Amino acid sequence: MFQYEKRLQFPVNIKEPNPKLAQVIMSQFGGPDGEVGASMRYLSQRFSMTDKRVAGLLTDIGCEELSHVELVCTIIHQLTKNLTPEQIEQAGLEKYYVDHTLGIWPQAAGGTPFTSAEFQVNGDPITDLSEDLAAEQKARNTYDNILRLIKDNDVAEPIRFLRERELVHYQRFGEALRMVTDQLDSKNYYAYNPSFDIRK
Amino acid sequence: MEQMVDMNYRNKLIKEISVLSFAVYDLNLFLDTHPHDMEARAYFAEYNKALIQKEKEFAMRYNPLMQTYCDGNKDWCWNTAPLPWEGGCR
Repeated sequence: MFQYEKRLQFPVNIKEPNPKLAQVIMSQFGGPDGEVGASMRYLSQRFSMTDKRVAGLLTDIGCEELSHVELVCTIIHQLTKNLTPEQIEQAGLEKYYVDHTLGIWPQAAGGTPFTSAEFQVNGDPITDLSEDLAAEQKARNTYDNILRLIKDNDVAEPIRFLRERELVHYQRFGEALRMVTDQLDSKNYYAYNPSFDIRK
Repeated sequence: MEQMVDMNYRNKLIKEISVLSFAVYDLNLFLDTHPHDMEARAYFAEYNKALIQKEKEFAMRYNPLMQTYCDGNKDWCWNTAPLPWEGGCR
């Protein structure tokens, strides 16, 4: 089960609204490499992860990704708070505004709604961990792209924190993949995990 | 009100909680893949102890950050405390 902690993982105190930047950062909420997809990916993959140490790691990282969902949403909320209709139109936010006002809804920067097709639960431990490594790199790269567009340090600081967490998760998933691979027999040259065929 | 005059200490305390909690959580991930690292385990124990102490102090002075620290005998402030996304954690 889960328990809520009433604080952010990293402080967000943005003073200047910036609806144009908000539309870009929105991708890390509901985009192809965003935080909703990350948390759903890891929290869903746990059930078929045969190594319980790695299932525990997926739980811990999946929970952190939920904190990142909250962080990204806070950034978007503070960047769009109290906008006037004129500011909304000037920034090109009117198409989002007509459906969601200034609420926070998971979509990619280009407007595509969040979908579970953004991530996979293959059910094979090595396949899933390989996806997780790629996911962390993709998310890190998206944060790098976002950082090039940010001039306000109040926004850059939490985004830099989120970017650094992708690096740490990539490292931990790399170790997890090695742990699972080491459990295979030495004749398994192709490093697949026959978890479906040798169920206990 | 205590909260009004004591905002600086509240912010200082929440920052300390953030720092300690981050250290504890990052050590948690490290220990998931390095369970036999005794140095990391000692750090974990030290920082987690300090974190719990600060969280208790915060709950006593201001509002509980987790249900674990809610005191049903005092005023119910779980859902009336400042929201994290509205500047509740400076």
